[in-house]
Amino acid sequence: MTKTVLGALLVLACCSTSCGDGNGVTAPSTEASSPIAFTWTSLLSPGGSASRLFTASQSGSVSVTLQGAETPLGIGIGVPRAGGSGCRASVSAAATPAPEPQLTTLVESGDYCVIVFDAGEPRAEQIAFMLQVVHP
Amino acid sequence: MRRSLFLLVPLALVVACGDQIPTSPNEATTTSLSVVFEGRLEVGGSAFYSFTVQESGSLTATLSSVSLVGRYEALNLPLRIGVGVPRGESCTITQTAEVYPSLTRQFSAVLEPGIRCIAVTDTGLLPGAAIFSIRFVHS
Repeated sequence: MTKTVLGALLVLACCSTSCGDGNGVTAPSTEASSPIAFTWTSLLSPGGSASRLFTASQSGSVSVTLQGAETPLGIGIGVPRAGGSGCRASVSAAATPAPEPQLTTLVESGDYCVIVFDAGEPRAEQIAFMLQVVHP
Repeated sequence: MRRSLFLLVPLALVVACGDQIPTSPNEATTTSLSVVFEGRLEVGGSAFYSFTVQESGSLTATLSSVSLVGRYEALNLPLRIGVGVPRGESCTITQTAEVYPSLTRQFSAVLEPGIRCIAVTDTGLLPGAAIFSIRFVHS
């Protein structure tokens, strides 16, 4: 990925409502008919995680694609923590940015979350990432 | 140290360890009759949560997440979940199943009115203390 693209990601990430503060959760976006796709761009703190909620209106498949990041990241699909902050992954994978989904799982209607986490080498800089989620 | 820190976290949920300490239903997140039972499971341990069934009906449950304490990665290994009746400081299981983490329903049981419990137990595969999350719906 070029520095230009990463720079654009960084700008978008700074405007995002959710950052990688370890357990940040973004409220579900306004949703229309199924399937729904949204792109999430944000920043991940070193060693931290960031998560975002979404609501599945019916049963179906959820897919997550890490489309942009300068380093491989962990991604997961799960359920919001009982305390309301953060995400408990049900399935997860180490992902390298790619155009095709790196993670897919079945869900029923209800509230879910996607989590991005830093599972790599220790680092000092924040990581900009761009993720696409498609859900029923 | 890690355990101490964990216990300090103000989780508005059930935290039960391997010694089957009963917990109050008020500590779980309840919306209508949908409940999230989340807690820590020690190696070889079990945990349970008691709740009141108002009228006869079915319970459906999903082991939605298992991960090692302090880790974000999902742990894809089975735990045993079951339902039963609280007896002192344990849950006497009447129906059980071994399930892997999933986001679709895996377990169902018919429950009569009264105080019931849902329990989760290590099947012997946990490599370390874990955090689990079970979603269940009951009448």
